[in-house]
Amino acid sequence: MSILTDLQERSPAGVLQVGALDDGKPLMRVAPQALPQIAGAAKELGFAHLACITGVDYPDEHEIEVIYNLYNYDQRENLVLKARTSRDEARLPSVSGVWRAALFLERETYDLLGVRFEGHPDLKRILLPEPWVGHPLRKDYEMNRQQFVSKGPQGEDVVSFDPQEGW
Amino acid sequence: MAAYQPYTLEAHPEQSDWITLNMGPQHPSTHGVLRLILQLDGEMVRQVEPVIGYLHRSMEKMAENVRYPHFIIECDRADYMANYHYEAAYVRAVEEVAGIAPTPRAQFIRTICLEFDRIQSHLVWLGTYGLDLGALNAFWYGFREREKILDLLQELTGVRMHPNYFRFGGIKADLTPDFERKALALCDLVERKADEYEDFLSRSDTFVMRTQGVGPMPREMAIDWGVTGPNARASGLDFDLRRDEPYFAYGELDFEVPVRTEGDCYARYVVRMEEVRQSVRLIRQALDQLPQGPIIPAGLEKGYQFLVHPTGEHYAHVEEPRGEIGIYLVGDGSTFPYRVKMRSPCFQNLSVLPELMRDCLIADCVAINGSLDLVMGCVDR
Amino acid sequence: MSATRLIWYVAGSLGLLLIVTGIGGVFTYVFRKLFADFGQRLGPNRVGPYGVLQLVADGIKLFTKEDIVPARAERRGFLLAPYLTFIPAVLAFSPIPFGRGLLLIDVRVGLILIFAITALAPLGELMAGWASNNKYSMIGGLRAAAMDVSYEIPLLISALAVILLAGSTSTAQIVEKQAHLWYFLPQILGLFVFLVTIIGKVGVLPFDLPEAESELVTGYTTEYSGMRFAFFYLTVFANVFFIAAITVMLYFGGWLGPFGLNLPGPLSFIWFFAKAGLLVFVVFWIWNSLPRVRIDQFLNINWKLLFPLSLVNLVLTALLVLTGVIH
Repeated sequence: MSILTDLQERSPAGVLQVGALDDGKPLMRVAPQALPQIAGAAKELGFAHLACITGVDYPDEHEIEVIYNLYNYDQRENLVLKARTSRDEARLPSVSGVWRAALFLERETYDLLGVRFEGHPDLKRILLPEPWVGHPLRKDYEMNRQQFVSKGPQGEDVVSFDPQEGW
Repeated sequence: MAAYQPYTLEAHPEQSDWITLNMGPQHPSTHGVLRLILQLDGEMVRQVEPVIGYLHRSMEKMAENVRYPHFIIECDRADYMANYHYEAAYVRAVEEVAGIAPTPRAQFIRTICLEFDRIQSHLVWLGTYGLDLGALNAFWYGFREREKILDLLQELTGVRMHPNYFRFGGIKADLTPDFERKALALCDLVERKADEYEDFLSRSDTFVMRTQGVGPMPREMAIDWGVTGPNARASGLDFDLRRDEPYFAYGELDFEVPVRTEGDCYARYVVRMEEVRQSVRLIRQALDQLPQGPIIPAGLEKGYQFLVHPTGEHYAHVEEPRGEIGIYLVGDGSTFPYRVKMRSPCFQNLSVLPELMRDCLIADCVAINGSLDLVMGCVDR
Repeated sequence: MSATRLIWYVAGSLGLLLIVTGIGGVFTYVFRKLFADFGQRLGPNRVGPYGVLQLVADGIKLFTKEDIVPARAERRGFLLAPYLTFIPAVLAFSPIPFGRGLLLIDVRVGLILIFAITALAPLGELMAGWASNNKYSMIGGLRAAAMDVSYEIPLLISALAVILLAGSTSTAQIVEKQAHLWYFLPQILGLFVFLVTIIGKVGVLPFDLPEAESELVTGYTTEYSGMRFAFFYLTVFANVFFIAAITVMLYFGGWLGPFGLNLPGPLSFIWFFAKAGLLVFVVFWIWNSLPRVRIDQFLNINWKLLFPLSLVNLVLTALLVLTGVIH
């Protein structure tokens, strides 16, 4: 796990826990503030491919966990970074300055889970229309309400709830 | 690295005579419901903003509300041009978290299905790309062979699209008695026709003029923006999940990975045509080395699939015709998945589109959009 | 003007209109069957034997469609534009001799008249593009204007070479002067330039940028439906026939038969239509085989290839005429 020790050396305060995922991939839990620095260090070590940014909602622990899957094309190695943030004020620094692939992925995580990525140049909803209220992938999102999108007088998207349910 | 600056009208006051053209959700060549807001300066495109989400079906939310085997049916609707690959990624993720070892025969049959899927996806791409550029016959030629492949797969799985064929540990049904002979005949046909199609397009000076040098993507840009698959391989990234992180039966099969360095539309076309030939080679080898045996481990047939309750996290990836599909599965031991994140290759390929379309003509917009092979179902999920 | 001249003009005009429209209509069927053949398909084969009634079905469909004028379109321009493209397309046939003496207008400047009339075409396209109040249409209209105007020059210079050879601008004279030598032989270069430029001017693939279907939906005809769209559609096919007719007239001897085998009197139109039919087949063939060029490549081809070639052709022809090789 030399990658993990390398990264730990570069930013010892930011690393919360070092270990491995169930399938053996090196795993590193980082504190949110240290994320851009560790991301930059990882990229310098060769992890140029940001494969996936996953947000997982843990309402029991009042936290949202964001998982970064990284890959090194030259050495064929994996690395997984995890960062946790509170559910009510979900905020993480953006890594879009390190990997441009994060631009769309972070927008999607913001859209569906409500995690704000600070430093992202263009954080707005990507899959859902702009006026949508709520973040659907959260576990407490009300699925029984009807939400539909129609066109307003200027042709803009208007999201309204079921008239019986009210809004 | 310089910070990424998105385009805003306020930031560019000198462009008061640019027009905003909506290459809207309905357009003959956006290949699905993609809205591109083009800022045009005459015929030159200065800025592009893609707006997506018209086909968002909240698959990831659905995954948390249906049982594990049900999601196989749903996930192959994500990328409707490469159904088997999404199933493969999901099934692979569940198998690796739950610790199920698929049977060898099932691995080979899965590989054959995936490679036929790749060929038919590339043929659709070829047809629609030719049609976009004005070579009207390319459409008919591409779809003609695709019909035969779909007929063969229909014999195997029962449907042409959305097969629901993969299961945890194996596949649903074994090969039909005549499958091998028909598959080999089809391989020969596709190989011959691939030469014909390349002839039709590569030797057409107009096609080469329209695609060479258009939309160049340097290798660093491809890696940085997360582009994978033939788009990245045409830019010089020599990486293919089938060869470098083998799964299913790819570790035992021998094939080449086409790589080009120019990174323009023509290189992407050449890489895809070459991949069709390599797929044929893979299918022949797989049919040759097909082991006998059960297609699903004992104890996992039919209803027992619902007893699969994985606990743990895993990221499984598969090389789709468009790039790397990933499924990040978080399982908590219950009957429903806790979180299924679908890493979509077209989502990442689309994000690089504004960079490629800077300062090109409208005609090039169509060429570049087509060459990236976007399927909106995969982008929006 | 005497009564017979008047009757000739009126009847001839109606006849010309009917012939051109009829041929345009037949071409919609021929075009689809040929395309199907090139693509190893069947084409229309449901309506009538071999699908020949397809053009009737298409006509009925276009006739009975709702006539939609966009609310914010510039109404007068929108309504006028289809006629402004169709009428010059038909009118341009009037000096073309379909047979011995079978031409509507026999003037000394027939060829110049043809080019003057066809120069009106981009006006209609531009008007359609502008009046539709649609950005796609506008881009299509602008492209049409740019293309038509820039491709006129090599076209006219190639025609000028033919005028040099024939020593006259009268269309009837040009055909009669080819009695012993069809002009495509000394004018191979000119024929090539002429064919490419006139296909570019008319706007069929590979030069169909104004209505590039996969880029601009249908270009300047996007907002048109029903009978107005039918006019544009007919114009395209009338123009295809025009390409064939004028090329046959200038380079392939018009209504003359090969090796002096002319058909007598009014039957001479058979040779004309046979040769024009062959050329229409060639145009459809090219249409089906080649992808579309981009606008800057299109203009490049024009200014860097066709224009110099047409000048070279003109100089060579002038030399041929001066030295008396061709008289």
